[in-house]
Amino acid sequence: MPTASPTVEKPRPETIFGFWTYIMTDCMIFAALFATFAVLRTQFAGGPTPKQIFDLKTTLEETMLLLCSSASCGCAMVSVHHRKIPPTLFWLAITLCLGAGFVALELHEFLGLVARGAGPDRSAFLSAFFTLVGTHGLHVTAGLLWMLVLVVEMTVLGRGMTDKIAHRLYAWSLFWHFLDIIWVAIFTFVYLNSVR
Amino acid sequence: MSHEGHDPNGELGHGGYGSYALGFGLAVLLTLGSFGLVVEHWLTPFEEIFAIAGAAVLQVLVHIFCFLHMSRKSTPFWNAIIFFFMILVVGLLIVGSLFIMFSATANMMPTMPLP
Repeated sequence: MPTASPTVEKPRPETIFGFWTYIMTDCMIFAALFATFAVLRTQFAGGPTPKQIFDLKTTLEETMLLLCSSASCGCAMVSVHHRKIPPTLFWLAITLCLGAGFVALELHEFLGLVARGAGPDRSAFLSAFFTLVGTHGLHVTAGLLWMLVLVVEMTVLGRGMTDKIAHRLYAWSLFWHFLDIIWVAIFTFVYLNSVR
Repeated sequence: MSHEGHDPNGELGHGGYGSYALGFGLAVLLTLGSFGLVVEHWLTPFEEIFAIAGAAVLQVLVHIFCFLHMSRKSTPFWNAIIFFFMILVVGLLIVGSLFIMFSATANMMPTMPLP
């Protein structure tokens, strides 16, 4: 095993384990919401059906934005691994733009649905849809805020790329990749499976 | 994928740009494949659901290996245990809910038509 440079401090294993446990429990929350949606997906109560309200073009755009942001987050982590601040900030800025684009598209989609009378109060199907996809959107928003806090710590507060911040960025990247995995299930089982 | 196994920074696993590029390419192909199947109707509806579900499972695996870098070498024992426990709970929740709710619906008394 190559000897690590003495300046690099390991995170305590239980720190990463704790965060990993949080992500796994979050998966269970999403599983409950997916199960709810699967049970209620045909309960339209005379309201609009998925074919009438889902626009696959928007879904594909959202998917690509989130996928690209996952890749740029990975590139940021390569820079974090080498403790290089400028490329890290560059990739994080791209991730931020792509993630914000995703949230904006989703908000636009939601507001459009509500304006057409297809809000969460219309039918059980729409309640389940807004709860599941909205919970994911809130997670993405929280992830963006978390990343902004870390960037402010690095730059405005002048702490630079300490091991502590690198470990936090690493935990954040796990969270971000996890959100993209949840989205894969959403676009497949909520959007594609409902409009076939 | 490049794994250093014992990472000096104590991260679970990390890769170079290569693993992210590979993961991104595969994910884009699987995503476009799924959307293409649904939009172009290349398969019968029955085959389609298995095809897009299979593509989703494959894509989740691509994300886990290429983006999260989970592997036997880099993932600590208890992280792996809780991961498989999560899979178990998620499976129970989803399969169990669907099984209970659909058999409940199937066993309902036929409803009287509304006046």
